[in-house]
Amino acid sequence: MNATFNIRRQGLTIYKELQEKYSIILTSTCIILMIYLAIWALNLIDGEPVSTVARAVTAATILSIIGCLAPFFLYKNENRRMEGVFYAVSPSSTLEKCISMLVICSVIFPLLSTVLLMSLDSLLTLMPFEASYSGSIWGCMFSSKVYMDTIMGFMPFSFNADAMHIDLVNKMYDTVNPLSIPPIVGIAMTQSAFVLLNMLFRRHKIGYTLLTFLGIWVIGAVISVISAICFFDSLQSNPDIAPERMLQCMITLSRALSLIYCILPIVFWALTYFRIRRLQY
Amino acid sequence: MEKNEPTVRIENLRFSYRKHLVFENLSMSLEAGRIYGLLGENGVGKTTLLRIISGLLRPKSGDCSVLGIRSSSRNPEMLKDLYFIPEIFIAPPIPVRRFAQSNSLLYPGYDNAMFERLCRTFEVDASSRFDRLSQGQQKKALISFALALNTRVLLMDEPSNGLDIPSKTTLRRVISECATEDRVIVISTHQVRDLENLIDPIVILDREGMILNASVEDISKKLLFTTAPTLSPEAYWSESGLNGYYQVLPNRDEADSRVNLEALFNAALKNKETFKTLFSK
Repeated sequence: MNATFNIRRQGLTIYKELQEKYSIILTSTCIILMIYLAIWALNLIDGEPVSTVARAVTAATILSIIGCLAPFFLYKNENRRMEGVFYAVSPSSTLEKCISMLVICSVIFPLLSTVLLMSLDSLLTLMPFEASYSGSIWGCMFSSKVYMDTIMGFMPFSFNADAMHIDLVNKMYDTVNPLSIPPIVGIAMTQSAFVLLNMLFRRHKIGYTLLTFLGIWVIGAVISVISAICFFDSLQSNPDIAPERMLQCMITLSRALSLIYCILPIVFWALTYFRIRRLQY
Repeated sequence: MEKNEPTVRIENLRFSYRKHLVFENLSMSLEAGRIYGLLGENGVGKTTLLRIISGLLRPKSGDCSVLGIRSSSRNPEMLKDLYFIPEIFIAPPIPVRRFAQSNSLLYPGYDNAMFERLCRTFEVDASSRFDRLSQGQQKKALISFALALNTRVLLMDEPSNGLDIPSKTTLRRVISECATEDRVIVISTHQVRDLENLIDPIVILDREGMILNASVEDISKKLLFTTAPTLSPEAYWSESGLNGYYQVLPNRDEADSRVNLEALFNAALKNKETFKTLFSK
């Protein structure tokens, strides 16, 4: 039998882990549903109608947060010296253990919670209350276009510039919008980073992970500010910069970001694999 | 694995925890059909050795192979024939029966009827939640599960710790019943009296490595355990009592005597180099 991967062993590993973790999965899903019900109840008290997009954003935010935290409660003990012994001596390969983690954290749990949450939302639309929900969120739940259009609709400023500039902004939006990263890819990337950090830290996992993210965010913010300053400096020193060149820069940046967002989850999962393989108990 | 190859082979093993050296050039082999008793003072590396054999720790240099496979690779082909019972473990928050059901999926030799029988023998309620059992009950449940797996290598770290006196008797009985020709059982203990009459051969470790790895028959051929009114100048170790001196002497006349593990252990620690030479022949 192949020591690295065997389909039967893979199936048994997933089944074994599901048997051990199904109560945690169900409890977490119940918590998600309870949070959504609580928000619905607050909206009812408030009496204001809630738009479909606002509900979709709320649902997606809850699912993203719980989805990213899932590795911490589903696989919190697997890398610990005492608690992780049974996991380590379990006769499946590192690849099979890693795939099983991927299937449970990134497929089964998110799929189950998303379907149940959307079904709950559909049920709530049937409730005969005055300020109740209406319309389905199924179509706009993870649509980047809906989010972008909404953000543009909420823009707190109006363009007083001439027609050429408005045209440029519209052109930039129309070109860059289709290139924007789908929210699901962003969630997958964040979750894979959380999975890696969950396996990396043995104690105070959530605290250390948040600190790591904070550190990365600070570095990212500093780089962004410096880049923006450099960009505006170059604009001031060269006011005749062609709008097409700016547009091209935006497209290149969007493409690079999309590529990074697609590559990073693969890199994080690969690093998780090597982490599990190198773990000592 | 070749036909005459020992089940566990350790060659020139070196292991350290950062600056604390545990093993230097340790070589030994463990053969099937035996119940090895691993003895040693606190901190000599009994648990570490069991963890290295089970692949939980990686040696710094040298080699440790189980059934012809390098243990640190945690190859599923090796792991399906090996089980490790740690001295201290965190029981999962699921019923014992479900733990056995899910964890046995990847072990082809698992015998559920045997598990149920052993639970009854140890008076463990398999329907109870594992983490809600007392320490002793948890250990008995895990021992029942480990024995029912029928793996060819079974490593037990201080299995009698936390067990009451009747359970220790039951433990000795079930282990001897479960010992088969193709199975090697390694029991690490510092409570030698608990497992007397069960373990054979005896392995004694010290801070410089291994003092002896010999069968009880070999030990009784080379050493005489006797009580005499006067203390012999040749005695490796002695203890005064009401009937005179209980002594461990060189067995020059090949006289029969019952090996006393505690006396052997004390004598070995007091005469490390002599014993190493005596049992290396």
